[in-house]
Amino acid sequence: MKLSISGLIAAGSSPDATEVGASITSLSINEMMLLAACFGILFTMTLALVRAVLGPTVYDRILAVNMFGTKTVLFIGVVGFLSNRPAFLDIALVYALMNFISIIAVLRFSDFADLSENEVSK
Amino acid sequence: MMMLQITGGIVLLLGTVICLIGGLGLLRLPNFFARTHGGSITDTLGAGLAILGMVLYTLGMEDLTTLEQFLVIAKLISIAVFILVTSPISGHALTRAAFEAGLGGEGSPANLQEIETISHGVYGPASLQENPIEETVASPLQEGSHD
Repeated sequence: MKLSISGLIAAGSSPDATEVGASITSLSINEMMLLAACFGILFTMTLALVRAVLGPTVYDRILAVNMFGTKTVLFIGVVGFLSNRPAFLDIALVYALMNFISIIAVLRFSDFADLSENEVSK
Repeated sequence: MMMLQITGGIVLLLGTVICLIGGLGLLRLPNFFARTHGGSITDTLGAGLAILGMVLYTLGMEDLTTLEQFLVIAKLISIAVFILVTSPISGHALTRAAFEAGLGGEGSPANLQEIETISHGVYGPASLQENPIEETVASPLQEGSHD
């Protein structure tokens, strides 16, 4: 089943719609801008993941995961606009809260135990 | 209302470009503290601009009633306020945790004993050890407190 972005929009606006596989040239300029923003945010998430893999210290990885979480919030919001479901914004808000709390929890844990005790070099 | 939607889309793309610059800085900057600086600042600004763009996009949608527009804009503004407040807090906490773990090299707290012997203290040339702050606040236990 070939699902394109127009099909996603049609499926979001009416749950009984069965038209999938519309071409990508039938998008209006608004949806093209939202799609370009989607790809930009996805590329930034990839860059953050590269830093999370490469990062020599553990704090580099925490920074990369924090950035990944914030970009996920934006991505969920934009996908919610593309698929005409405003309920995605609740999910984005919940994920923003979870991301912040998890970063603070990991850093509080670093007060009690050394985070980098298994690393070879700092 | 196409102009409002297109303006919202342009602001959203601007926020995305700023996030891309931050992600590029995350890969190219030389050490950890520079990466925190570049990543956290562009993260906050890009997220704020992207959500502002989404607000403008929603204001330009004609097939929503005013109540639905208000709900979506309220959720977007709460996400924006939360990210704008907590993203600098996370960046500061991360930098402070890394600094106290000794990542800063010469200025890290492992060398605090050497810092105390320098003529100007930690706070600069007019250090607090030489000019202590005199207490002028009256304590509630002294005479003259409220009745």
